[in-house]
Amino acid sequence: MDLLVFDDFLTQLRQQGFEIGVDHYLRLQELLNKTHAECAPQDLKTILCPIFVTSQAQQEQFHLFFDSYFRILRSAAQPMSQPELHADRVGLTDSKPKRTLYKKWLYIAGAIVAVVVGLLTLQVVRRNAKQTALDNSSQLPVPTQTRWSPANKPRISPSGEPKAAATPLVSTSDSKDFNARIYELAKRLFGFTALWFAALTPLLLYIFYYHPLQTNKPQSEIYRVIRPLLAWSIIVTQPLLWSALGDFNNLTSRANLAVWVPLITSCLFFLFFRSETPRFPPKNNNDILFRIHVGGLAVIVSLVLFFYGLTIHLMAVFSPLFFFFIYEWHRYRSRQLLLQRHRGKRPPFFWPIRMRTFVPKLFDSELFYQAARFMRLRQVDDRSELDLESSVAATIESLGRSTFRYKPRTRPPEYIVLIDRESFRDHQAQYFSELAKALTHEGIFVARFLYDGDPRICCEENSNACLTLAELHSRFANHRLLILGDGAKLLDPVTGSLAAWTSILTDWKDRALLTPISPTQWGYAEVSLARLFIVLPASLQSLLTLVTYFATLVEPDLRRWQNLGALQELPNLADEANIIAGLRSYLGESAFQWLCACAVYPELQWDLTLYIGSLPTMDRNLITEVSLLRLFRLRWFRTGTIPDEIRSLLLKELDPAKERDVRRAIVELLERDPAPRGSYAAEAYHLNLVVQRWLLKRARQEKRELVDTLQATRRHLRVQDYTLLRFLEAPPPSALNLYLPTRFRRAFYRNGIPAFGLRTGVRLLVILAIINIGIVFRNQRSFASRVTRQDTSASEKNIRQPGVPRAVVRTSNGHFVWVDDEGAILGEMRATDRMPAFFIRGWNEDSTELAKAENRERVGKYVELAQEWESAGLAERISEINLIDLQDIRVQLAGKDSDIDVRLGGNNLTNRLRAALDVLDEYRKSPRGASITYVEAKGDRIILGFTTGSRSANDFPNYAIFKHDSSNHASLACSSCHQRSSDNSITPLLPGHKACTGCHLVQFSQGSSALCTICHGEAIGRTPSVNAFPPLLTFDTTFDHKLHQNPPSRPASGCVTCHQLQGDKVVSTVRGLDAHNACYVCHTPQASSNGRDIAACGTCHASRTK
Amino acid sequence: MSQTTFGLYSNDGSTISERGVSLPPFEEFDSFDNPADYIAGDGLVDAVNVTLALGQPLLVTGEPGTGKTQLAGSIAFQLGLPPPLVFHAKTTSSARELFYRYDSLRHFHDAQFSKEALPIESYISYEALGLAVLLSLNASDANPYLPQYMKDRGPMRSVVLIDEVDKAPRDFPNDILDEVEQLAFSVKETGHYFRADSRHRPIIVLTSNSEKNLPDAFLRRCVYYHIPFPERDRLKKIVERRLKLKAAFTPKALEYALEHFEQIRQLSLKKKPATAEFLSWLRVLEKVNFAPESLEPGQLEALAFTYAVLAKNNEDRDMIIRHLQAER
Repeated sequence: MDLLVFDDFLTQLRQQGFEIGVDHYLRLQELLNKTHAECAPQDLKTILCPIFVTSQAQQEQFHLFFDSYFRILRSAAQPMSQPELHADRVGLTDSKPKRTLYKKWLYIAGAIVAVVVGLLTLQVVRRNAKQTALDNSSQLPVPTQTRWSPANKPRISPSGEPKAAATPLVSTSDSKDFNARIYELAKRLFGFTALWFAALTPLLLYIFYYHPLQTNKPQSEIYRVIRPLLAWSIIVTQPLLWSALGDFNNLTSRANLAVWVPLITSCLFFLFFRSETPRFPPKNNNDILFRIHVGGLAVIVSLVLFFYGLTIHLMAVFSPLFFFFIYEWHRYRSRQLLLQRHRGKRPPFFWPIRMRTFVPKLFDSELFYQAARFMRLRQVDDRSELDLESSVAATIESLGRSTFRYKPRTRPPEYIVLIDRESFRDHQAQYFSELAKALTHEGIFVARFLYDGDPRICCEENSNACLTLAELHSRFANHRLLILGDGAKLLDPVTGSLAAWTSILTDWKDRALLTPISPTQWGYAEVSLARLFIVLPASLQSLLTLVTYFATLVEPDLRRWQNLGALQELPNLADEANIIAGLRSYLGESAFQWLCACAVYPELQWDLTLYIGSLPTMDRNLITEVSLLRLFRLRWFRTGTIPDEIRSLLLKELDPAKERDVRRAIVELLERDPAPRGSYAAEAYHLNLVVQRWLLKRARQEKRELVDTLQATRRHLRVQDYTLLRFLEAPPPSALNLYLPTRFRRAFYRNGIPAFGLRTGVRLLVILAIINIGIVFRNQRSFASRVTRQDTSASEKNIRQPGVPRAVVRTSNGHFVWVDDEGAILGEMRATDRMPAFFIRGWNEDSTELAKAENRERVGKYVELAQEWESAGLAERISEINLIDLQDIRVQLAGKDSDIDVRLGGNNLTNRLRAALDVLDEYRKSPRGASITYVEAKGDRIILGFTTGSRSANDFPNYAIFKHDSSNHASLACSSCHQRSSDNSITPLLPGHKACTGCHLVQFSQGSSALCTICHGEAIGRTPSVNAFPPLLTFDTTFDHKLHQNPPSRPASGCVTCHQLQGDKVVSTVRGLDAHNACYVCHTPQASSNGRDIAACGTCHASRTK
Repeated sequence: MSQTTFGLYSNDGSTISERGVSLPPFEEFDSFDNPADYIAGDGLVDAVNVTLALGQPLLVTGEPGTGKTQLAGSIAFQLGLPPPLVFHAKTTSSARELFYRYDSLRHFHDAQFSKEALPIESYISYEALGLAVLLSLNASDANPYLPQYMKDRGPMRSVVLIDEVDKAPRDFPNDILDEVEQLAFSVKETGHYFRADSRHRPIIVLTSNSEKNLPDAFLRRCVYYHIPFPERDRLKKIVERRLKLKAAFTPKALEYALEHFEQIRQLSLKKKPATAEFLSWLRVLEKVNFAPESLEPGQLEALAFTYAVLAKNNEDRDMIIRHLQAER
């Protein structure tokens, strides 16, 4: 057995108030030797207890202390502050609620279910995304849906057969349509919620498990590092996870928003709320946590800017609201945790300053010892016994006749002392109590009881057990009764004579009342009391007189007390003007300074008051009966507090040097004996300590450093408690008591504001206002345009359109036709028709299934993009979209930019378009802006194409020159102009006017445009001369050599079809336009291979430019 | 005539024979004080063991009725010793009386009127602790002083119970301090001096209703244990062991009674009923055939009058009855 452990244990036990002597050590040792055992601590508890305790209360205290002591041993690995052991003021039962494992698993299961549900919903939403987009086209481009009625026009399929069934024109208020809309709305709403939920789940999980308030234990360094790393990895991997789940980029911008807003928010949340180092920049740049956080933020920001620059402005609109909710949620959660922690708090509720080593000698006077001597004098009992010696002597005297003599028995006198205690910090009661203790120490039997005003209910000190006066009487009938108090409640409040119940007091034979009221102020009350008691002033002198009376039955002379120094008349404390002067003359200068020094600490505490009085900085010999009695008779020392205004007056009177010394002493005392962590008293204790330190530091610099230190402290080490905040906010702010500088307040009570309080409400209103402004501003244009469209569409009800018209396609021959979802051509567009957002180019006009499938995709893409661009406000700048290749989508701009095409590639089209337009707009302002011909935004960079040479904006465009590589022409399909002649001739047919009128109707209508000179020498007369076909530039020809090596693609004549031996080299014989001769052998006008059209120009000329 | 054991006395002035009932012989509670049925809590067991190991007196406090007095019997029973030697402290007790009494009056009388002078030893009777000291000595040494029924027993250990030590005058505990520690005393009248054989040291158990009146010096020479009121499981065990209730009193009924009793103890009564009262109460319930799970009309009223066993004064009884009514 480790002796040292028990040595420490006994030392601690002694500090608990147990009286441990050498014999206890010996008994303990003997007991341990006899048990021979390696007893578990729990067994030792009941074995050791009986030798140390002497009462029921001590037995309970011992058990509690033992439990706490050995709990500390178990957790000795963790640094634990010593004061946790002070169990005399601590209820050591660890009632902190512990989260059960069961609860944890519940959380995990819930989170998994949430994620699964979220992902499933997401899948459903995604599967329906395209379908939804197609279904919805009527809602955005055509807000009012109309149906085709065949009575006006038959529906035309590409094959020309009428298809539609006979359905009449249906109005928009169709119930089925309405249901469909509701369904759609619900689907979106829930899908949206599910997205949010899925995105937030990891974050919630993280917070559940790593919230600092839940882990009160100090964290190791590695834990501190792992935690932010984990957080950042969750944040960074989220979008990757989403991308991996599917075609993330094709989700609507709303989905992007749903994912990114919480993620970005959580980044900031973690940085500013979760960080252990909230200082930016920190003093020490090597701080690993700081690096991790900055690195994580940088990764997120760059990822966002890289992929989703366009989403940011949406986020800018909605993020304030999101921040608000996150913040409120965080506060709510923190408060819940704090309240939970508060519920789990342990006693003590109060942590008075106590000096274990400091015991001032209060009763060291001759008077006291004299009184004690008299109090010990044995008292005559009411029983007698046979006095043998006297009887024998008397029998002898009476010549042998039995004569008995008796003598009264004697017994030591016992005293019951009832002390009037107004509050638990009542100094006067404490003083009397100390007097009773001192008498007990002198071997006098004194039972102490406290009462508050009315002695009919009396309590023992530090005990909840209360006794009635009747019970006291039955237990202490033979005692001498001493009441220490003014006895006001013993009198009838109306008549002023003794109350009826006081008759029970007469059962005590010897009884006295020692009143703290000055004899000079005695009046009728004392006269009334004197009928029942011996009434004396409460002082040692009168105690001596009293016990002398008990011993000798000599009546005391009350007139002696008229001039008792200790009980001088109290100054009028209500007279604020003269209060200082009054107190000074009442107490004397030395004791007055003592009073002022007591005002330094917000509470008056018995130990502290005495300690201050005995500080070297105070005058010597302050602790005397006279000064103590005078001081403690002041009302404030009975209630335990000095009002703030009086305190400030007193502090002004206090010598600054003394004040500094007293404060320093208080801070030292507080530091030496900290309140147990997790107790009710801890907050008030810490607060007092901080405030005293703060007030002790005189220099501003030092104060600032203190605040900085405080703010750098980990949050769970700081005082953060809702209840304490309430407590603090309740009293009016005072510069003395619990005045906190604003910075302190902020640091302490971040979570203190109630959830639905004024500040929160105002905060929410401001945020909603900001969002409203943002939304209104952003949607102003699109709203306006939508409204006009709705107006126009309302007037379009008489337009006959087949099926559900989705888009307008510009065909190769320059016609504008409506198409439906299936890519079926519904009919030509009329001048009165509503204009679509923009036209489709690059339509495959073949009638093959392949072409149909391609066209279907094109329409789908168009609808999707039209929606996106409409909502993004981009559609107005676009006149046409070229969808010939869905992996290389190009758009022709409208308006002043109509000569520019933007090449967007295959994905992330909206963002790229936006970026391209931004760059374009910027460069258009430059001197070369006019010569921009195209913008390429396929990759991470944006490339601007310029015409060679510098041309002024005035002479552009030059219609006299035809250029295949002009942006417009390059965007057209070959077949838009060129058609193979049916006789398989290699010379393509001339395009004719029809190919050009689609775009150049204006020029054609002018009669003598420069455009005419491209083909005609002079555009005069009905048959103007036709120019020779211009020399061709190289088309980007692709030839799959491998494909043509094997049948069926291999030419009949083999290699020599194209190759020839010249000397020792093989050269190609097919070159330029003549090459068509070789190709056209197989690639006849109607040729196809495996269902694939191999007759079109696009078969070999994949890129039609240059 | 039927053999009713309860409700023999009634208020209608009739005799029991008129009611067709015969007066049964008193049925003694067979096991009420049987030390074999005493169940001590863990803490008490350890405290007794510490007492035995250290040879110091054991001071036991606790509410009345928690089995303080019976503890000594239990210790003696378990250690195979004869029943404890009991000293009941009274308000007039003196330290000497703990060891012996000298009947001075009879001696005086005999001296006056008897022809034959008896030895002074005849007027001295040894009390509990004195007997215990004598028993620890060799039989040959102790026999002259021991009463007839105790002769030739020693040397042996014995259990001494000093009951209700707080009732004795203030001086009493202080006066016996040294004697109890040394286990030695002298008889002033004869000049004999006896000192217990340390190998056969008596085991002293003191009981007190309150430790308040005992001086510190006395307390620190004792092994102290406060018997708390038994927790529910132990109380149930005690009941089962002590009462050996009839089959009619089902475990469910016992549970009900326990719960009801716990509620009563939580009331702010002047004198809380303890284990002894509970056992008596169960006896009464058994006698009136109280079956809580199938309450017949009038049974609750019957229950109310059984509270006379639990409550020690009128106010407490009223409070318990009010509680019962509130429960219904």
